[in-house]
Amino acid sequence: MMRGWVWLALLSGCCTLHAAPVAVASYDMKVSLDPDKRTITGTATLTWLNNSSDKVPTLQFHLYMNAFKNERTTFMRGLVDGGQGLVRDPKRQDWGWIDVQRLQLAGGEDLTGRMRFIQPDDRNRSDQTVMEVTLPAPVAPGQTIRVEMDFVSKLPKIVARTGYRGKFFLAGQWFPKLGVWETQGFRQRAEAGWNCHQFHANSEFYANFGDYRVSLTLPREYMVGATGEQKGRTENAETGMAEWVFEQGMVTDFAFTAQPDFVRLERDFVPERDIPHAERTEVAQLLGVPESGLALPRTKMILLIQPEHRDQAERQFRALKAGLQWFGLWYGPYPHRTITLVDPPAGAERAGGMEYPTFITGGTRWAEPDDYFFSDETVVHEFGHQYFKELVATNEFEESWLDEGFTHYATTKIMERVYGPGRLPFRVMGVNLSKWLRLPLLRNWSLNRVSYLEDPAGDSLRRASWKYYDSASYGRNSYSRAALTLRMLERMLGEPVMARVMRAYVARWRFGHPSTRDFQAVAEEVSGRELGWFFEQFVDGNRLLDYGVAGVETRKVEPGLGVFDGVPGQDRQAVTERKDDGKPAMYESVVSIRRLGDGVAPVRVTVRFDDGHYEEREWDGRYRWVRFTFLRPQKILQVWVDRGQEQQLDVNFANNTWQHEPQTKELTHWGGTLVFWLQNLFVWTGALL
Amino acid sequence: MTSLPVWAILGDARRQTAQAGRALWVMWVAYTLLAVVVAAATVASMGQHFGRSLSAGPLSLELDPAAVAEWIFANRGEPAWQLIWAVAAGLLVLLPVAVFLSGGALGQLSSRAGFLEGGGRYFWRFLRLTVMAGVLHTTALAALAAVHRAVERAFADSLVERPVVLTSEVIDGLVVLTVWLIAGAMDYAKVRIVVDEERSALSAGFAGLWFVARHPLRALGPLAFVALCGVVLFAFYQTAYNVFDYRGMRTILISIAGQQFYLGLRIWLRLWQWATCMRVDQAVRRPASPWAISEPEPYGDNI
Repeated sequence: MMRGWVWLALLSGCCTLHAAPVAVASYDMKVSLDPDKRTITGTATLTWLNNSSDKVPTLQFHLYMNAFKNERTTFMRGLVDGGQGLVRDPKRQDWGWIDVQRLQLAGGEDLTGRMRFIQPDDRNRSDQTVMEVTLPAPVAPGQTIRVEMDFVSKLPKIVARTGYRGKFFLAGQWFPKLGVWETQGFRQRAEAGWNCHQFHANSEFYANFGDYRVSLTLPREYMVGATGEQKGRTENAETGMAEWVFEQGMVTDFAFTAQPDFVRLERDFVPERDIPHAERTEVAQLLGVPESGLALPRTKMILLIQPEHRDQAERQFRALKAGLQWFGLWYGPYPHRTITLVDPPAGAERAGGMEYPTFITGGTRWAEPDDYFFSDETVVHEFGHQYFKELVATNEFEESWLDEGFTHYATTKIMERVYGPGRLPFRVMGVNLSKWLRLPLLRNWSLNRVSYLEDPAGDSLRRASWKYYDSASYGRNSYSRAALTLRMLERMLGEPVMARVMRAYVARWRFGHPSTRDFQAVAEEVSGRELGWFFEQFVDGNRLLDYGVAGVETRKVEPGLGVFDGVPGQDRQAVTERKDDGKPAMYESVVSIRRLGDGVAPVRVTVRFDDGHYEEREWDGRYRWVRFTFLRPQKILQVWVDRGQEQQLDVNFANNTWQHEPQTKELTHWGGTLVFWLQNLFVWTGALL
Repeated sequence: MTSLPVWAILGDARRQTAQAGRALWVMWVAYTLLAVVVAAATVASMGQHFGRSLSAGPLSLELDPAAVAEWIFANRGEPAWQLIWAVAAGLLVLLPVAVFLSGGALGQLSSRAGFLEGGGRYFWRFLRLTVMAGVLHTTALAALAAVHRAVERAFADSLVERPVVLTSEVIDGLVVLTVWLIAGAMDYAKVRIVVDEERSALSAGFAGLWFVARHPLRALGPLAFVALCGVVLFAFYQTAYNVFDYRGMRTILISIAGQQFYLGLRIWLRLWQWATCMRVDQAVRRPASPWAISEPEPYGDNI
């Protein structure tokens, strides 16, 4: 267990192994959006610092927009094989692409002729989402270069995250974006090289931190939101255009949105006003830090919402505040001054539910019921990405669980705490009947288990995103199974220790690029426990965890029949009859526990006797079964395996418990209800025939 | 034609329904047996999985989707498939059973035949009528689905949600109304077959549709009242169901009894609807008919 002073030292960063954050890949862009042609045209100047010890001979860029160029790209082929996103009608799809028309070293050689497309992941020659440029001379360690690029980006009709619908534009991954040079040993890399993957149907993104300055020109009737802070807006009455300027330091990306009829609203998150003192105190006690250590900055919240959703605005702000509060208290201050939340219009839902630095897209629905929290959860989740991966910038291509799983874990805790369970809406003539019809409550952890149980061991958590079995497996492992794995770790370590693990991880890796091994190292360091067995089985591996009560046998202990040797000096005795010796009856109870899966974890077995007495036994869980014998005057009433449900990945909680009396009452209830539903189905169907 | 007040028609039909007690019991037994057979394997599987588990108690009070998912996974998906196939088989068996039951019920209501005799006499014509109903339902729903798609195309580039949602809800309402209209018309067709001894199911079917089209208020007004009674009955049931706390065996048994009583009332409403159709048909088409059923002759014990 981590001593308090070491824990504080970790938090204060004085023991950090990493240097202060440095802007590695910065962009200064001057672009214009043509709403009629749906193009973004302009110039980007990239300033790149080679902060490694390697001489770098090439540059590799992501050209993500080319994923939407035709049906043969790696992304589009992945949709057929089960990726996310959907092209409903390829014949009517308006495709997207990006052309780099000029690439030149600032004040130096024109490198346009040296550009070539490469396919490092699947050799699909039709895929043009990675471009390599050979430099005239390698970039030396510590050297900074500036590269100027002229490009045209054509936005598609919204397929996945980016594009247009009518006059609504969401530009994500729209400019040529440098990959990440990783030196040998960085994220356990075998040899130095570019980390620049193709855009797959199931993958997201990875980039260095840098400073962004973007000047965007478009017709003046458009309202614009973007990453960072707005530094200016000038209108040109003659041309009817407006130039917007945005700046943001130390981020990994830049996205923007534009629509003429956005309703723009602002609120301030003021921690002293918006965070109840009791909640701040609670977190301080959980983390073992003084309350002064939980000071959070003010943040400006900007909401761009559709006019018909205007009545949902305060609800959206409430969700954003919940994210700012709880992520801030648990993991450290949000490092930027603004956060912009975008509500995409009807038909553009595929642009919703996405994160960019200081800029997130949510999406709400007209007349959304008060007790259905999908849009609220989306806002909290996308804000959570400001920590995992906008601040702790993990590689979403290769370890998607580190951002989606971590965010989902924290989001589920916030939703449970702030909102409670929701219900699926069931509307008849505008009236929501779900509560009256007693539709099941949607408890977030329960829904995570439902997703997990669809295929609990089909893939490993830690896996390249395009190498999962299918899109469903990617989603399941990146989100729900990852969240349950972290919850299992939390239950094992205890909530205070887990809270300190997470906070230390964020503190150490702010503006960094950690891997799974880095998180494991922090977890072991803070908890003081060896966790290799856990990560090997449940993160790197795909073991199925299932312990269960196999049976309980109880028999009354009777005097034995047969021949018994007496005490020394006495004759041997033959006992031929069982006689009541007047003593209270004793019972021998044998509890059998089985390991039904291939996952191994220590378990605690709890036994309750019919006089209310409890006993506990520990088992290392290694062999396939174990038996515990009890000799008491009472019979066993109930048995639990893992009573505290530490093993959140156990696929069957029902067999973790046993009780003496069969559940006749419950089975009668379920049987009667099922028969009733079927009777009604038959009566209704018969009425139609 | 004689114009009878709606409440007089409904009142006469109610009295007529009271004579068809045996039909009600037979229908209840038939639906219950079918449901029990379909549910048996599923309940057995639930018993094996949850039989001695402490998780059964909380699950009984509130449905936990994760517990259901565990049960399905523990049996490698079998329970879900078992139930799906069992329900599908049950619905297939339901087709001839429901046809027979409706023939028997209408025979008894009209006093033209006993329950069993009526079920047999009208079986094939009612079965052909059912096929016709299936074709009508499918055609109507396909047409409405095409309307739905046309609406989607019309709003293809719209950035506004509200008109699409409202239009979709109107279309959903039209679906419910269309299904109800076709079912009502087929009920009138069944009356033709029983009362007029119409030999052609197709002719009876079209006659029923024409009847509803020509006399919409007279034909559908009383049926709408019966349907409203069904909605009110459901509202009472659901409200009462929400009041109970299902922790004790006694409460559970009372709730099961209450559910079966509700089901009996639902079947009674069905019989009342058929009797109402007969009364309306008579009032509109044969006001002075010798078959002027005010008090049907009791048919004795011959079912």
